[in-house]
Amino acid sequence: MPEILPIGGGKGGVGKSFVAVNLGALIANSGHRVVLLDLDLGASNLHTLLGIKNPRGGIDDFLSKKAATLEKVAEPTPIANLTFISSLHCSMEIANLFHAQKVKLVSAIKTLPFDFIIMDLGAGTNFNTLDFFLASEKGIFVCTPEPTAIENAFRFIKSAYLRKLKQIINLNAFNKMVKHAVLESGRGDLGSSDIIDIVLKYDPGREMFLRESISRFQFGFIMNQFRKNIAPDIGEKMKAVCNRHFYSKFQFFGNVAFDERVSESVLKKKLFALHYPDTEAAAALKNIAERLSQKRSLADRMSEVS
Amino acid sequence: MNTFEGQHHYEILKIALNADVKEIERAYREALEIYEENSLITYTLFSEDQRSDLLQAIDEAYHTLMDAERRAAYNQYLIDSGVAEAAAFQTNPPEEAKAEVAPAPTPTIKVVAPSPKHRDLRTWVQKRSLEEEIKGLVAEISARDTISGSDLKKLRQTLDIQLEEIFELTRISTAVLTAIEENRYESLPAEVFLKGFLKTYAQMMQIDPKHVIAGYLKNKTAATSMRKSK
Repeated sequence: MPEILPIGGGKGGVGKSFVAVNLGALIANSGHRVVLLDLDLGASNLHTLLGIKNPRGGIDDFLSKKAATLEKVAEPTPIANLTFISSLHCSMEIANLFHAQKVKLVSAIKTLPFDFIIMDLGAGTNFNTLDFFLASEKGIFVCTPEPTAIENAFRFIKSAYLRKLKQIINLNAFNKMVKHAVLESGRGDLGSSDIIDIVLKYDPGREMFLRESISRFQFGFIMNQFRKNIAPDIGEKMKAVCNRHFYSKFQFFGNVAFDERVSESVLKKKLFALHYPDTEAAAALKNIAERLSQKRSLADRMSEVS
Repeated sequence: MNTFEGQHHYEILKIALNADVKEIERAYREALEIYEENSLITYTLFSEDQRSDLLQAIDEAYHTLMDAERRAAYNQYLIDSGVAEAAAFQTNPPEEAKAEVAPAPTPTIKVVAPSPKHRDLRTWVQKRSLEEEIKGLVAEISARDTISGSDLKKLRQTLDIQLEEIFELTRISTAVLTAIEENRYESLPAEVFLKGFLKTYAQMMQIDPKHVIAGYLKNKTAATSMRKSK
């Protein structure tokens, strides 16, 4: 089974694509087969960060059935082991995928024959973005230590958490009253604690199941563009407070220092982490990539044993 | 999202049952840093209501645990309700090596006299409860098999007491008191805590706490099962 790592984060400009592309390159560099998917539908530019000028048909070819499988639309990148799937050629309306297309795309993504599938998601909390994020049991979000980015990050977490709860209710044997109250009530203000209350009220025997299901979902997060004047433990504290107030698990992957050479590397079309390996930011990214791929190796060893 | 519901003061501040004053201070400062309104760590994570409930619970925990007398009473309450063993509140015996160097300091117990305002409220209730109107109301409620939150509210209002005053004296948050009075069972804390709150509240109004607890819980059970069968 491939390890699926969606990278989201609510706010634009916090460095989701930067993190996705650099983690992808670093994990590929350590010998794993990695595919990067540009799922920022309607605002694709991952190819530019990779130094690819004219990407192939990508997701558009797959959805329009020009290509039989999603694997066929993947193309090589200048980095060994790193493959890329573009969404640049998707039509202007693609940002509003039809439900059937989304289902088709998500199930194709899940079976791509790679060790790591890294998805670069768009900004905001629209249903497409959330559903790509929830395609995996673990999602990563990127934020920066600013109120605006943190506000959007929390909105993103709460939206993803709420949608996950609804998904669990929808896909499992909860009774009619719960399903009706959660899925068909039309209440726009239904929050995550309301859902747990509804289950407690109408189907109390299933409350533990709901909590266990939502607790299997893991959020990892990265604090990007970190500047020296900010308390370095803010990420750890955010992690602790989220673990306390959500039933899902949160882990903090670390601070990636702000570095002016990041924009320089984009201009030069060089991959930052590989081009400036001795910087603090590159070291942090390398550390995160190692943590992510170590888990993979451990899981591989476990499956070999069993 | 879950808040601090059902957590006791030590859990809210994330400290051990035998934490010393220094640790309580540190935990309180840390909690404020995380939950205060302008904290970047929880910026927009909570609604205004949620945040004020969380802060009130933190304050309540801190003030209870920092007051030796109130802390002892609260510990006893946790012991009585089976939440913790008495031994868990003991301060750790100093390691032997350390004991040789210096004898263990005897803990100083600071007994804080209740503020005049608090004493006033107690005397006030004492005085009022001699009046015929109050006597009648207490007798009426005491004769009932099931007791609703509105009975307690009526008694409180007839006694001319504000919720804030009860909070000042008992440190039971006004949110909990309101939920008790309005029979909002889903907002009430776990039953062990609810019993404790009802006991304190009843004692304050000088009405038999045992009867109030039994009557209130009976009413609650009846109402909850009715809702379920609907």
